[in-house]
This record gives sequence, structure tokens and C-alpha cells, in this order.
Amino acid sequence: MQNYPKQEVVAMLLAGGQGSRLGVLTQNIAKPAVPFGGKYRIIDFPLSNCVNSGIDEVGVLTQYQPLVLNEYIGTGQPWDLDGIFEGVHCLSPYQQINGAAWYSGTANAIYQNINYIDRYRPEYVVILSGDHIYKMDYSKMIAEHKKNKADCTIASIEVPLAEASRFGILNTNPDGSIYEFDEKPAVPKSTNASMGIYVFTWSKLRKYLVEDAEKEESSHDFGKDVLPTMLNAGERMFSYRFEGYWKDVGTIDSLWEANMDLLDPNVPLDLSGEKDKIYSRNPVMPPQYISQTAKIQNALVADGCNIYGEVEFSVLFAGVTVGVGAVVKDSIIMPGAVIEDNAVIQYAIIGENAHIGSGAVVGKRPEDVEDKEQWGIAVVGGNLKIGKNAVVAAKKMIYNDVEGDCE
Amino acid sequence: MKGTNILGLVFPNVNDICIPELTSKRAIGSVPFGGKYRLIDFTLSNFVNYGIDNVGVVAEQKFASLMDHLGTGKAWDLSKRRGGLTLLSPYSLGNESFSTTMECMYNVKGFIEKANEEYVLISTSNTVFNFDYSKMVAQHTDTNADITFMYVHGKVSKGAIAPIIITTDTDNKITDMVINPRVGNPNEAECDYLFSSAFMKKELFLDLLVDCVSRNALDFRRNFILDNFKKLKVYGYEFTGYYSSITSLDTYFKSNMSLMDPLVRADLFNLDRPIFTKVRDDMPSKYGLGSSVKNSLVAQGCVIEGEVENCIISKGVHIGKGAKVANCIIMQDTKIGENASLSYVICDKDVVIKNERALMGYDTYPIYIAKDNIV
Repeated sequence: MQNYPKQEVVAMLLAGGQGSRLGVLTQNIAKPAVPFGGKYRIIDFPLSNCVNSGIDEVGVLTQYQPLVLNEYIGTGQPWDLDGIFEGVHCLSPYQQINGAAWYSGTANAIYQNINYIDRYRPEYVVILSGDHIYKMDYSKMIAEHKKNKADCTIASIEVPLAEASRFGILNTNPDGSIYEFDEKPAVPKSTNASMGIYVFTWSKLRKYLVEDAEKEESSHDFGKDVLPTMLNAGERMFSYRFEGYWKDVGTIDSLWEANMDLLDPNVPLDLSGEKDKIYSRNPVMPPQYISQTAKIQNALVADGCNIYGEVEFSVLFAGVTVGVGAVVKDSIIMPGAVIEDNAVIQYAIIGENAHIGSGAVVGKRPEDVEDKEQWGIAVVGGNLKIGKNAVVAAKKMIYNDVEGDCE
Repeated sequence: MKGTNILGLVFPNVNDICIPELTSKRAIGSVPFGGKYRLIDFTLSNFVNYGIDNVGVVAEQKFASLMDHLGTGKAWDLSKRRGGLTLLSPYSLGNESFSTTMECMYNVKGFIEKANEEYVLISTSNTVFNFDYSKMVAQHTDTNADITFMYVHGKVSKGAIAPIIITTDTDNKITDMVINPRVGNPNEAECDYLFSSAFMKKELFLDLLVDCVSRNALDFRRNFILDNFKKLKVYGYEFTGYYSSITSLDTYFKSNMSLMDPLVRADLFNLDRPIFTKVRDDMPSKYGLGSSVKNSLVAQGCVIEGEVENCIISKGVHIGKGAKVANCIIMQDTKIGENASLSYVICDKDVVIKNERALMGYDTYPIYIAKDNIV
């Protein structure tokens, strides 16, 4: 067997979830592969954070619809994760001597890859999610973990009290050590929410994973099983307070908001400049062309776009076309989508390579909807066709082609 | 047929003298173009899109910027175990004479001999076009030619040094070749003239090269091409798509501006034959509130808060609030201050135009501001 150089830290990125709340957007791709911010995919954020934190070995746990994700990660070259010994590796469930099993929970996914981690003989393992938008230097968190001589450190963020019951709340002693987990509490004792980012001392985690795997009643989940077991056993568990922008983009609303946050100069997430860059696979396309008839304000636009219409408060991915007289406002247009002349897109997400016919109307402004319950972001799935002059109501999620006027 | 049996040779310094402004610190092949490209990208992409995967870039001088741009060749899929991209710089083989293109070629004779490919495709790099070389190679095979030169029909671009005007018969066989003829000024009359590249057997290329150098006949156009063409079967292949030959600051400006034409972009950025370039991981460009952009080509990583019209805005450019920029080429990472006003200006990389500055050139004479300057 090849002897791999020791890695102090190995990161494991959980990217196998379906992301069912994103509906049509994750019908054919895993959530971490969903396009974000005009040229990225969600997974670019944790992957780039790893590289920028000096973590050179990243295992990506894939299970649901891995084709696009595997292709996107490829050799890991865009993130400089294509080293001779270390880099990024996609880890799918596989057949073993005693049978084949899917990853049955977050902890089980790591358990099934103990051999992979062991090759690098790491001191620490970082567990990350593939559905968060944030910039974070994990090395600071690991330093804190070492200083506390902790067995487990959980990154946390301050959330508004009103929203605290949506999160896992960490109740801590003054020294930062955790005395209680409160999963989605009805009456939260604090506003210190877990971000789902864990640093473990590998020898400890390994032991608990093996024990957990033998428990029939366990759901093999970090939050539900492994962490409470460790806490009850009296292991040293600390909370690490993260200051900065962090957003879980697991829902249509939060995905839309996080994209819009990039347009807001007051939001502390800066993707410009050389520092802590977010890397991605770049489109091989010419620069964007903004025509004489275009009107473009407060927007993010990627390479290969051709803009002839009006674009405002929107994020346009690579290779998008906006026709003459078309209006795109408060919307996200994913790569390769075509918005034909005079179509109107408002408060909507248009999937990759979708085609919106001329004069079609997708989504509505909230002020134009009487019943606020009926308002929401309209979503058109990838590769779909919305016919000429067709109307897609607010909050609608479109899974099939919509016919328009006959010629 | 794919070009795997062809060795590509690019000459990034040929025609450097045409635009001294832009080439004072770089080879013409690494002159920025179209907001995100360098001129050599077009030649390299045409090569790799035809499957040529062994490419030598024969540098003569000023190649630091070129080396930075090319790197390992990864961006063109030319980072390979076998072949790939090789930057052949002067002194790399210990020889000392490299004052002409011929001597440079002669110095890398070893590299050419060692290559397994049977043919060579040699090319300049001051050209902008998108071409499927299989057509030219097919014609070469069909006509059983010794050498096939690419040519175009039109007015010779302004500033071209020693253009070679040709006459062909109906089979495209070249019957006459003249350099810069006095009668019928090629800048005014349309004619057929050689463009970009030539294709021939590697052995023939080496024979002609060694023969020229041994006789101290060191002018590529006059000695290698003109002295030999009557002894051989020499054909022309007419390229009929969009092309531009960058031979002066004026043609540089005009060919950049021609990218505003959707038909030019459709031809040049053909989806089946993409133009590759070095990747920089810029964020998408940000258009601020109150900005206005019309008829412009904008690369990624820009922040635009002012007014822009008829411009090429390259990677990472910032245009401040209230600034008015019209008919300009702004190269990468240049910062234009608030309320500055620019018209017909070519700003090289990393220029800073301070707030309230006003600069104005003219359509036939754009102002050029060199790299790293502060105005």
C-alpha cells in the first residue's frame, strides 16, 4: 500500500443530501452543485475555505445525483486540490465485503470512510456541509480547538432570538464549553446557533463512530446521535463563535436572499479581490456584452451574457441572454438561460438553460399581489421552455414546459 | 482528421515593432485583447481546437508577461505528459545568435527534430480569428502541395511590415509573390495577402531552414518564403471568416471595437471552437446603482458605478461614480476615479486615473497610457 504523507487535518464535506426543499432546482443535481452568485456553485465556498485555511485533503461525500457534482469537482484543479498525494476526493457509497449500504446518516457517511481518513493519519477531522454560503478560516477554529484541548469544537453564530428556535442551540459555560444541546428549542435559552461545522480530534471521533455504528436504534446523525453521546460521556466540547456572513441556502427563499445579499454593499461578504478568494470552474466564454438598448443597474453579471433589455437587482450567470425590451428584476438567472424579447421576470429564479418565450411573465412583485400568502419567489426548472406570452404566477415552481400562444 | 500529427510553432514576437506602445514590455502575442484575452489565445485556441497538442512557442525577447500568461499551458489543455506547450526562449539551448526569427527557429531546431509529428504548422500571433484548420490541411493533402499558406482577401492592414501579396491560379496554386509592391498600394487596393500561418512537412521545413541559415540568408519573408516558392508546389488557402491583423495602434483599436458587432462575436467565439485564455477567478462584474453601460464589452471582476459607452472594459476594472468613459479600451485592473472623463483613450493595465481628470483622444488617434501610470 502506498504510504501517504501525514496530514494534520482532513476535511470531510457532506454533499450527499438531496436538498428537497429546493424542489425543481435539485431534481437532477445535488444541492452543493446548485449555481450561486453569478458564477459559483455552492460547494465552491466550503472548498475554497478549505484551501484558504491550509487544508489540502478534502473528502466530498456524495450520494444523491452526483453526476454534475463529480464532473464539477473533477481533479480539483480549480481549487489547487490536485496534489500528488493530497487533494479532493469524491467518496460515494460502495459495496463492502459484508454487503452494500447507502450512507444512512451524516455520521454513517464518515463511518463508511474511516479507511480513507486513516490513510492520512490526521490529528483532526473537520466536518463541513455543502449548503452554506460563508467565508471562514478554519485554521483559527482548529487553533482554538487545540488551545482548549477539546475533543469536539462546534462553530456557532449569533442568531436573532425570534429565529433561534429554527436552529440547534448551543448552551455554553463562560469558558465556551458546551453543557447542553438544544435542537430547535421552543423556548431557546440562548441565541448561540450551531453552524453545522465541527472539528473533531480524530482518535475520539473514530471511537464514537464505531460505537454508534453498532447501535441499532441510532439514526447515525451527528446532531441527533454522535454529539449528544459525546456530551453525555463527558467529552470536552466547545463552541467556537464565528463572526461574519453565514447563510444556509437550503430553501428557495434563503437561496434567493443569499444571492441578493451579494448586491447589498452593507452585507459583509466580499467576493472581490485576491484575499480569501472563492475559486470556481470558469466558463470559457467571451466577456459580457451590454448593448445600446440595455439598461442595467445594481446587478451581478458573468461572462458570456448578452444583455439587450433591462436588468435590475438581479444576478445573471454565464451565458445568459436578455432580449430587447425584456425586464429582469429582483431575480436570479442561471447559466445559459434565454429571456426572449419583452418577457418580464420578477422575483424569480430561472434554472440553467431554461428558455423564456417572448412576452412571457414569470413571477410578480410583492406589492402587486393582494393576498400576501400567495406571494413568493417563482421558480422555473432547468432546460424548461416557457412559451410565448405564458404567465407563471408568483411562488409557483415549474417542473414541466409551459405552453404559450400558438403562432 | 485531427491534428495530432502536426507540431504547432507560434512566434509571439513577430510584428512586435508594429505597435511599439503596447510591446515596449511584452511580446505582441501577450498584448491584451477584447477584455479578457491576449492575442496569442486565438492562435493557440485554433491549434488545440484542431487537436494539435504539441506546441512550441518560440520567444525572441520580452517574454516575462507571456510566460506568466501561458503558465503550464493548462488553460489551453496543453499541460500534457506527451507534448503540450513548450516555451522556447533564447539561450534555452545555449546558442547565442537570435537576432532574427530565422535564427530563433534555427536555435530550436533540436526541439523540432525531436518531435514525433510529421508536419509543422507555423503561425504568427498578432491575428484575431477563429478557424478550423482541418480545411486547410485537407486542401494541402488534396493538392499534394509542398507548402500551403493561409491568405486573406482585402486591404492590407495599416502598418503591416512587409506584407506578402500573392497571385493564385484557379486551383489556388500561388503563381506569384511580392513583398510590399510599389505599384497598387496594398493599403488602398484590395488584394490577396498572406495571413497567420503556413503548413508543410517537418522535414521540408527543416531543410529550408538549414539551407537558408547556412547561406546566411536570414530574412524569413524574403529568403525562406520568396526564394523558395518557385522551386516548390506552393498553394494558398483562402480564409474567409472574420479576421483582423493587429499591425498598428489604430488597427488594434478598431479590431477591439469590432467586437461590438454581434456577427463578429458569433464568428469569433464560435461555441464549437471556444477561445481559451488564462483563468483569473474574478467575481462576476458588478453594476452599481446609478451606473449606465451602453454598447460595451465587459469582462468579469469589474465594478462599474459611472457611465460607459462603446468601450472594452477588461478584468477587474473599477469605474467610479460620475465618471464618463466613452470609446475607450480599458485594460485590466485599471481604476478610473470619480467624475473623470475619458474619450478615445487606451489605458494599459494597472493605470490609475484620478478623480475629475479629463483625457480626450480622437477616433483616428486614440491616446495611449502605458502600464502602471497614474494620471
